[in-house]
Amino acid sequence: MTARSLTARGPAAFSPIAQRQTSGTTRLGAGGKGATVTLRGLSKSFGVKPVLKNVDLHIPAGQFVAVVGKSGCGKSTLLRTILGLEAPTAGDVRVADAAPNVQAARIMFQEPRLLPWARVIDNVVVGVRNKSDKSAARAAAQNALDAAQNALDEVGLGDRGGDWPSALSGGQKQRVALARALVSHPRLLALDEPLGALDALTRIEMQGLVERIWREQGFTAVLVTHDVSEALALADRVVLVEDGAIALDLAVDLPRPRRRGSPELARLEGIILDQLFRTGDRVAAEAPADALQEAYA
Amino acid sequence: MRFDSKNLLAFVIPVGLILVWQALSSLGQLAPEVLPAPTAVVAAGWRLALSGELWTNIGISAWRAGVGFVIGGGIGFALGLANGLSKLSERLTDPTIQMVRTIPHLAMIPLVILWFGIDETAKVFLVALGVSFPIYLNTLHGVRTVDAQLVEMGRAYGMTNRELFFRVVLPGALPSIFVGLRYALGIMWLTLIVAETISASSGLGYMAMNAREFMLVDVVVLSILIYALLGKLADTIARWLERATLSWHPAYLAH
Ligand SMILES: Nc1ncnc2c1ncn2[C@@H]1O[C@H](COP(=O)(O)OP(=O)(O)OP(=O)(O)O)[C@@H](O)[C@H]1O
Ligand SMILES: [Mg+2]
Repeated sequence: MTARSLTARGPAAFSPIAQRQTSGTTRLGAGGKGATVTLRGLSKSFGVKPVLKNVDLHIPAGQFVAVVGKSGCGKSTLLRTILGLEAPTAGDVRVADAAPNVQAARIMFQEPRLLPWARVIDNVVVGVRNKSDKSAARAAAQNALDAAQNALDEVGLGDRGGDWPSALSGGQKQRVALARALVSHPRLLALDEPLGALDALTRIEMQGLVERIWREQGFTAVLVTHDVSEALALADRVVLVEDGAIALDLAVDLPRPRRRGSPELARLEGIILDQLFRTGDRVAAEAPADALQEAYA
Repeated sequence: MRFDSKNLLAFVIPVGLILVWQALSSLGQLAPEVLPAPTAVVAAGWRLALSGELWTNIGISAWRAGVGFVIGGGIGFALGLANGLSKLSERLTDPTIQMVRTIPHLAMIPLVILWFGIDETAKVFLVALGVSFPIYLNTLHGVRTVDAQLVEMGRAYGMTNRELFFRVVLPGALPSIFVGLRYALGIMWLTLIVAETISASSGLGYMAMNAREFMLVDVVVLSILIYALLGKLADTIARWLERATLSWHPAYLAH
């Protein structure tokens, strides 16, 4: 089975794994708080260069999806297209929400992208939605500050609100960026390698933080990462993008919190790495049938 | 401003020079018609201050500098912003501005005298012309080099164009704008001195030229010192503004 044959399926045949995930999950409130993301025949080209080729993907509400793939395969482009930062060349993107008309998606970038001229707390306020009308400006500003303070408390930086971003460490900056992304209680959180630049220890700590907040708030999460073990530690489902198409869609049905280095994780990691570095079609054929989506090929 | 030993260090050389100058004059080593003693210069300043002549001239010079700076700086700033934000505006105006910029603005003096005579307009025009280019260039550069990732973040977080401008673009361009501002202040005084020296009937430059005709060397030296003080004053104000608005910048964080 090749990457092509996997993505050549019709728009009607959306991922059965995805559905199994939601029905299997016992997390409370997840259905109500997360957005559903549906990509149908999504293509994106820059000039003549095709980056995404006819991608179909359905992400049910509240699911944590990790997107992995080699550098330049189109992961960021996929994420940015879902968020509406890039317009699709063909196909469509639907982010359906229990509460429509709410701009519900937030993104966290690889870099913190904090405004250096705004205090930490004001950087978090940037993420507050509904910058309201003039009449209620004062009360709204106070509410925004309170919300920002809560978000900072949540990421463990409640006492750093008055500092300049330049006074924070890399990990702390990224935590402020997380607070900014979460302060509006988004239905969909897109993370583009947000932990890539952090040292190993800080990264594990941040993974724990992201997982905890995701479980509390129940939003839908799409995490782009280079790190296969990170994907497996956090995600309900790992999607491997290869050459602009989905080459592997793997369910990770393991209890949380997951123990690093467990044999089950190692087995899944093997499948993904084999697919990433595979020669020809050998690996796809060897991979366990329950992990691969071939039912509708 | 705090005065500690580090600040005092800056005064060692100027004070030393004045002492040496005074000593040489008192010992008769410096002819008063070449360089009058510091005490003579102070006395000249006192005399002119009492007659009111000094204040009138400082006032008129400061007025010309200020008005010219506001007009030229305003135009340069507006064009810099417009061309930094809009490709269309840039294509339309930037080539022309770059062309005019290559003309040394003081070369315009003969033409300006023909156009405006020696009245206020001439001086204000020259100052405005000289000041506008550094402000324009640095504002444009500042807006252009604003971190594109921050702009993208702002858009992704739903900022309106207005919010994006005031919260991301302008603060990001500010350090560069200040470079232009301080450079422009230097040009402002230079232009004014030259213009007033060549064609004026009032102002500090005129006071110096007039004194030269009557061989009042002390007044000439006084005028030069006042120019230096005014220049320093403008620079100090700019620095203070810079500190106040760029307090987030690592280079200005309180030590
Ligand atoms: N704005 C753009 N203009 C032109 N080409 C682009 C643009 N953005 C991305 N590309 C191209 O699209 C391809 C995919 O880019 P993308 O950033 O999605 O890769 P990625 O999978 O996120 O890589 P990495 O893991 O290195 O971040 C690359 O070949 C890149 O050169
Ligand atoms: Mg990327």
